[in-house]
Amino acid sequence: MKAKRILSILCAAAMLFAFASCGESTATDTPDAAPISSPADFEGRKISVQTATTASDSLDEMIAAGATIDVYPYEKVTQCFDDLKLGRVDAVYVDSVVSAYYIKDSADFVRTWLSDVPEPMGICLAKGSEDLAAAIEAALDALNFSGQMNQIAVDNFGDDFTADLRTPTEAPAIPTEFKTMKDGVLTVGMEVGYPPMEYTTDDGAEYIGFDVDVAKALAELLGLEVEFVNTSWDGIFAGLEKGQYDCIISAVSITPERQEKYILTEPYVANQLCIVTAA
Amino acid sequence: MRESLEQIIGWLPELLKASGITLELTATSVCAALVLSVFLALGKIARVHRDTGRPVIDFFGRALTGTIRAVSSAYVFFFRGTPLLMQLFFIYYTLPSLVPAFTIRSRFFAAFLAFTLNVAAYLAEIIRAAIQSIPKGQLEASHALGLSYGQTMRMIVIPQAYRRMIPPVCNEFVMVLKDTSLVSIIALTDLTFKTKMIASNKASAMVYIPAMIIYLIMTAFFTVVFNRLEKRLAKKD
Repeated sequence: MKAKRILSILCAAAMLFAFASCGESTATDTPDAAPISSPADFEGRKISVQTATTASDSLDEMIAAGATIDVYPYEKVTQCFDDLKLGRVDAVYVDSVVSAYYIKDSADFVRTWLSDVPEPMGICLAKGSEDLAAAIEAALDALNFSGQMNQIAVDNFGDDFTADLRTPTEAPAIPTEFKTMKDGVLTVGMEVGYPPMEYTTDDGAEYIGFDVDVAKALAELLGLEVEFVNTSWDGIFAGLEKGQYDCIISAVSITPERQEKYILTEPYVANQLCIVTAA
Repeated sequence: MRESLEQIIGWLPELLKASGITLELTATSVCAALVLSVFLALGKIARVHRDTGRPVIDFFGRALTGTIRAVSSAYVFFFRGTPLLMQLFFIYYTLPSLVPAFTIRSRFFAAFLAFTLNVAAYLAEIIRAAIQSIPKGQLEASHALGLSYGQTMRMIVIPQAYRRMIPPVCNEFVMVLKDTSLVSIIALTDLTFKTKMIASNKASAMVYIPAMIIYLIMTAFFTVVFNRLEKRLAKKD
């Protein structure tokens, strides 16, 4: 009898606890709050972000500096935009290349702020693949020289985000002395699900996007077949260290920390952080 | 070695804080599911046991119990037949886009709801099985002694079934405790989510060691508690 009584008291306490914690997060709802037009407006608001990205690092820094931000960290950037559409968060903090895709395709979103700190992207290789990195570097220049890169950008972004990043004055010679994991195959790691950089066709059958096109064009220039390895973003660098792919072509922003641990090519596409809110 | 030990100690406060969410979610959803599951289990075994002799009333009685049985069975069938992960996604993303009024703002509540609905289906089956495991001979014997159906249930069946369902219900609790790791996909900072975040940010796979130890401690604690409860109830037999 006593056990029963204790159990029922425990149950009641647990339920109360649950309702208290549900109320906590809904109490901060501020529907009429000012629009978010810069990271300074993040204070006390709900911001969704993809985990392990430069945007998420930037939010962590703000919080470490004393800001109170209700962060909704998701594994996929698409989940961030789903949340914004459903009105669960006030803004998404994201790469500008991605925002371009969402703003173009939908009247639901607007970009309210664009960082003036450039954060271009490069192709990432493991230490020890210097030969392959040099070949990729030369092939990127060749793509820019021939104008193929600009075409890929226009096809995918509707705008040329690669202009002025690389301006080779002559067609570079592409080295042929390099080793890949599998003979004659360039194995590319990417997190598919990051439109318009790398995502799938509507039926999910085929990989498409800017990075996919770049990888294919690169492999062709290097005389290799291309093979994609789809992996989660928060494990993508660990996969490179374990040798699961030759390189990462997956919207990798160039940061000093990453440059220290891995080989990063010179920028191949321009990018900066930005804020997207519901229209 | 010493370095990684210091690292692990440094992670502990954050991990323990996240374990609180894991525990809270498990306890609340299992408690709520217990309430719901009793109705579901009774719904699944609802039957008209004695005719009143008036055809209209008997007809509606049968129709009513039939409907209750069908609804409860369909519920259990659905929630046991689809993955919990998909139910979680469905409640968090699909439902709000179908019916905007069902947009759940709290991540905790969304997870609580998904787990409650899912666990209730499993618990309902446990309860139903416990009730139906009481030998039919006892029912016949009590009928012969002149007890009504309600009296038989109250005095003969339920007290025995109650003891039989304790072990599987406790087992379910421990399972749910581990299953809550799924909620990391809707950005609820439970123990698994925190662990993954530390692992990816600081690029250290070491964090899985303290995280697994915390899970082990939690499951060990509840296993011991439930074993004692079981023993105490068994004494009455």
